[in-house]
Amino acid sequence: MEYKAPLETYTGRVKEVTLGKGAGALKIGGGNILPLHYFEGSTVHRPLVALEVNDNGADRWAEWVVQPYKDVVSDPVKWAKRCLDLGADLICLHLDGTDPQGANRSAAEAAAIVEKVLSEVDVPLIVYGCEDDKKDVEVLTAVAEACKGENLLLGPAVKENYEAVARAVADNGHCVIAQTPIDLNLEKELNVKLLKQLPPERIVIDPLSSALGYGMEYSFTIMERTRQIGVVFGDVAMQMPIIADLGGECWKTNQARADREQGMHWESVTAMSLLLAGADILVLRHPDNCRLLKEAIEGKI
Amino acid sequence: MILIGENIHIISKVVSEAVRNRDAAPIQSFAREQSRAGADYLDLNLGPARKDPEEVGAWLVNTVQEVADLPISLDTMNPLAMEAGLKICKKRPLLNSASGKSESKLNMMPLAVKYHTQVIISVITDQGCPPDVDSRVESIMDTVAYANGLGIPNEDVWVDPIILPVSADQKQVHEALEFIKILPDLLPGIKSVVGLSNVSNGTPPQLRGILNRTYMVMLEKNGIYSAIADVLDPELIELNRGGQAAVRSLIYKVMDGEPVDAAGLPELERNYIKTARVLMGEALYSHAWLES
Repeated sequence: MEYKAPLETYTGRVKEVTLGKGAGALKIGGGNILPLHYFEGSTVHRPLVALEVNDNGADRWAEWVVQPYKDVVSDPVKWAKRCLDLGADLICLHLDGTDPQGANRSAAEAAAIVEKVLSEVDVPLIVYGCEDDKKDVEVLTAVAEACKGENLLLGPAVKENYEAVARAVADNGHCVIAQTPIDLNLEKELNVKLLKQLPPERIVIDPLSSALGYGMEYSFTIMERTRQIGVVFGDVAMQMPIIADLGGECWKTNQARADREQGMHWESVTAMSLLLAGADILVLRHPDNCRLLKEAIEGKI
Repeated sequence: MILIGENIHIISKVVSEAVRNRDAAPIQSFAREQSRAGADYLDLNLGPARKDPEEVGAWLVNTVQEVADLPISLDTMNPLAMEAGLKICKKRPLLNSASGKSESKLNMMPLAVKYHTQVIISVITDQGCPPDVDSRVESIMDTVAYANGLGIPNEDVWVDPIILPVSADQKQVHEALEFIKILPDLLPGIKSVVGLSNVSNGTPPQLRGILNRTYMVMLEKNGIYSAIADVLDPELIELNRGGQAAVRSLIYKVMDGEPVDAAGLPELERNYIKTARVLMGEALYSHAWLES
């Protein structure tokens, strides 16, 4: 008798979220399976790998991760194009330069940078503010308005500012990143609140990604449980795709700064782990790790 | 179920100031209010009572007994304050509480014997609070056996499974429910008690009541004997007296896994259904659990 492997079926399904528009649009989520369990279920969109571009340059980056970009780090447009040449599926633009404690770039200037990058690349754009909840409202609103209808993935929306951020996102045709501090209950609460302003197909969860040795296992368990609660238990407030913005977290560790090989492993192991936990978008800094993770996702390793 | 009024608690600013100044009026007003509301016992929580424990213990019991006829549940970690209070209780008191901790076996349980009180015994041991049903069972069997050895019969023991906040550890809320269900089979004749309001600790203040009330109905279905609770919540009293039959039956249905069609029901009833699902561990808790 032929052996047939038993398959689980689940009641819930991750929402399909479209990023960008037109020919360059990409989709994530959509599956009714646990992470990477392609044998269990229906068509899904495979996870995506983004490379980070920073409007603040790369002065504080470890030299081995600056190396692939060192001639373009002062120009976000060129930097973004380099990332695409090096294999990124899409670009994650961090606007660290808007931080009031740092360069304090204005919202209008930041919006101009985003517009420029957007006009020069044909992939979807993820845009993170500087994670100052007040300044982010100004900056993300300006970006949302300047790029109206372009369907960016914008955030983070946090407990302190989600109403204003979600309003800018909803009014201007974008998607939002819902960020909570590694806590399942707070994550659900924010999702429930955001669902009053936006449909679930326009929300991506960022439960915060900690690096290996700095709490990665907490991020892992939150992502894993998010998927289980959404897919296995069918909780509609927990069915949005997940973004793991981990490159910066990995490359700021002492271990990654001390040694190139160690840094490469720090980022790749963290990324691989969070991929297994359920991340739908991985944001990395090093192009070699981008290639590695894409190969893993495509099943080559 | 038997309700033990929780409001004379040292954690309340009014109470702690009144105790410090030996000001009888606020304490007596709480005692009267809770008696009128329908409490069966009054809990007097003195906390650690570091300063003048004997005098404070006696003063508080006397102060309450001047205006209330109810039996007292005396709650303090300080054996001196406990003894001073128990000594002068007019009605047979409840010692709140002993546990499986060595210190408690040594200092608290003998007081229950000496003053022939009833005694709350929690599942806590020197290792802390047991994390699941099996370890709760193991701990309570040991501790109750020890109490029996001192001459305290099962009938005088009120077992406390320790309720943790649903916002902190949702799984424990369900574990405690299960524990209450099997307790009478393990220890025939035993009574049980919970600190009901603990379940809603850390949740938005205006939403604590519905969590407390729903959990009370659930615990009652599983056979709980008593609860230390907010007896000043009139809806809780009404439910405990058998009122709100529709709400009760919906909560039971959720517990029994029967299909419940919430659509078309009044908001109040839908909220009880949502709350019961959270307390059963069927839906993930968030502070916005009534909004989804």
